Amino acid sequence: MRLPHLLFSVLWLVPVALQIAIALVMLWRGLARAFPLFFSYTVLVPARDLIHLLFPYPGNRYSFVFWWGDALAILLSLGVIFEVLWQVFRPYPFLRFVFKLFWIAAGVATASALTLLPTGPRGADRVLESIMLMERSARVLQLGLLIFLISFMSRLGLTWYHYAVGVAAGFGIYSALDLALLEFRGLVHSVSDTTFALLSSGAYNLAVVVWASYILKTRPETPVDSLPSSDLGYWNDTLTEHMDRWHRR
Amino acid sequence: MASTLTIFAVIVLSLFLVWRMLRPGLPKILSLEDWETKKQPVDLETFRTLLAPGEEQYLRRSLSPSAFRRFQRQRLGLALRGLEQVGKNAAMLMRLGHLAKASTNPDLRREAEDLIDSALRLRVNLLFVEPCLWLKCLFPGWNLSFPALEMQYEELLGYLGRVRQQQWTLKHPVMAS
Repeated sequence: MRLPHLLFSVLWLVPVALQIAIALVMLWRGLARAFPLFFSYTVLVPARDLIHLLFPYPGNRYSFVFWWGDALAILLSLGVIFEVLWQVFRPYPFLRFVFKLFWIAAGVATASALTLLPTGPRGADRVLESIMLMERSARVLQLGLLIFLISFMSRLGLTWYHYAVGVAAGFGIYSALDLALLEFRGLVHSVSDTTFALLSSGAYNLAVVVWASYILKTRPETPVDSLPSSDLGYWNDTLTEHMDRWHRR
Repeated sequence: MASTLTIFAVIVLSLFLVWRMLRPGLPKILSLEDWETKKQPVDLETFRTLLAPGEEQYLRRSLSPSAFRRFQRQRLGLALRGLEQVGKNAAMLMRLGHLAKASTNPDLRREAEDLIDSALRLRVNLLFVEPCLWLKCLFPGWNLSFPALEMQYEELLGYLGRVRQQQWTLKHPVMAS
């Protein structure tokens, strides 16, 4: 077995196995109800990869499953960002401003993504180039939303929502690396398609490992039986007082 | 070319943010003892003094403009460091509240929700206050005002008032009725 072939096999098998395990653990722990879109994504991608085994490559049916599966996976991954946002910020009504800001960020990211589309395909394979341009736009949108989500989660100290952190971080890594590869593919023509396919697969493997490390790992948490007294209320009063003073100046 | 550069900037920014989110930034809090040993002591009175407008006016009058700017930057730097510690404390308390929410005691669960709520409010306040202090650090002589924050701030104050009213009603149901 040649090395690239072996690498392809490993990079194909690892995420399929891990994602099946993630889906089973999510069902077992009831996480599929909390993250239905991420669960669908986790089921869809390995299912698509397994269905590929049934069709000859290259072929129309193979391409059909690949491209429609890819489009669906991108749509689901965009939906997952809204799902994480909802899970993390929904319990706190006073954080509704984050949702408003998120829609603004979504508008800006969509506009940036759309500006990439009119460039239009110029090469020999126009269909493939169109698909790649659309994928690039979708990834830009995805990354824009992820940047917003992750920065807010970090700034507000909400990183103890460990499943949500894992899901967002995995998509952040994969989207960023995949977009980088899409860009390099357009710029660097000396690197073969096989190398790009290997690197893209490697990026996806990295994301799946992040998801697996957050979802498969058991974190035994002993509930605390009392809480300390804190001066958070005084600090809040002091800070609002200062904001008031600055604002009225 | 411009779009490619923008895309690479977005990629670098998102990877940086993911790295920041995944790195172990806060000490692990698994129990009340963890909190007691890892909390950062910050004195509220010192913080209030550092940002007291009277003190600022006094320094402005007593010192030369350059000495005032230097001294004011030091004061604001200390205030920012204090806020950083308070933010860390709030995040650790949030974590502790999250652990307490798993308790079977309904009173403790309610207390935990209040604690998480307060800590989160503090982090939201820091979101506004810290950039303002950074701006003041850059321009110590500048009298800062934030017309753009007016609406959000009034909403926040109104919301805090409503929450306090609700909390009071819950604690004193007989008097409220």
